[in-house]
Amino acid sequence: MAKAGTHSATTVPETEWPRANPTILYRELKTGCVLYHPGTNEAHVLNLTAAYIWTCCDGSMDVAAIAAHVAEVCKLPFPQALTDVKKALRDFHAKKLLL
Amino acid sequence: MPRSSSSSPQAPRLSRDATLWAFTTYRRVGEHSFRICGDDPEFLPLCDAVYPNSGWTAGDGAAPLYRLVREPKGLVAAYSPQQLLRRSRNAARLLVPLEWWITYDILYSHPQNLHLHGGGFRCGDAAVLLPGGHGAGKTSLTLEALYRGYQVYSDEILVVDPERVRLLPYPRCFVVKEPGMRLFPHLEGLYRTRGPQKAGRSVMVWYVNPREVRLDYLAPPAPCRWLIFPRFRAGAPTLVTPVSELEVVGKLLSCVFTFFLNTDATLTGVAALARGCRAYVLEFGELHRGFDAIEDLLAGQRAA
Repeated sequence: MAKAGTHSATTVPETEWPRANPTILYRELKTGCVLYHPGTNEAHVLNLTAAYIWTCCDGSMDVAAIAAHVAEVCKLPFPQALTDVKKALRDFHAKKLLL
Repeated sequence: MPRSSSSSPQAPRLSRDATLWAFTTYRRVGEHSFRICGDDPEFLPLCDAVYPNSGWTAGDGAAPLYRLVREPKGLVAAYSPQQLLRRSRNAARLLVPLEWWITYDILYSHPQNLHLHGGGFRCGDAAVLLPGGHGAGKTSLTLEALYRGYQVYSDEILVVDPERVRLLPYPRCFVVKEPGMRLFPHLEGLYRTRGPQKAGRSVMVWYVNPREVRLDYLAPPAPCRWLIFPRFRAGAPTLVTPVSELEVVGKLLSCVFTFFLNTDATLTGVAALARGCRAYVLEFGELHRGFDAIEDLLAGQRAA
């Protein structure tokens, strides 16, 4: 298992267990969610898929497991879901939304 | 408008016995009471332009006191309860900083609410919000709403109860800028002064009491149902475009006052508005056509 916060921002290993930064404020929308990071003073608006991925980042699932959930919910082939999840997690890391 | 810090000397110590004020005006906005006093009766009309419809006569000596004081060398100084705000040779130039300082004190006294930069009016049993930045046409559209028989909430500050998603009235004076005043030339305003500098120049502003248009101008609280983001461009055709929920969040966040006062309430309010309101961008280049488009929208959707 990769330790949180030690990965490269450009690669997200499938064995990582992403965990949301607990300081982030989260509010649900009908078509996504809005996040606010008090540390960087930035708000982020996520679409439904990204919001779903975000809510899975509780440290109890690795990247592959999250991708499997996304594939099922969004009716996507697993490889495409995995690519999308990795991309979203890369963005989350870059914006310091994950630990 | 950010507050500016002042490195000027302390406000003169107030002693009730030693200070003879020429007048004291009493105000209450929501649960927030305050007093404005001056040592020259000439300042009274200026002070009357600050929240003119929120008078209160109770003698609460503990209510914050804002002061206009004559000083040597022909200067006039405005003081908040804590500090000097601004000095000027022209007392009228003190109105804008004084009024905004009081406004922020009022907003800070209601941290549980979401405060947005925008105008608003009531249509039927629903509130229509017009959030927008400087020059978007908020004041002109809100004044037009008033003339067409709607009750209004404010031309500048929308106070939203984030839990119940209701718009609350905010009885501030309308501040009409130079271009907008050309559309309402018969409204002379309570006070005429210069606004803060933007891009190296300041425009003339008029403090217009909405009671001059209608005595019962202030709308009661109502659930927020409509978000219309006005965008005035001289000569532009009237165009109404729906806005997605996610776009609404970004647009609303750019209109929030006092974000850091209560980020939790702010996010709750913004998300609730995005979830619960129909949202549109209104581009317009002519006021009456712009408001016609709003009325068509409201009438069409209500019928549907």
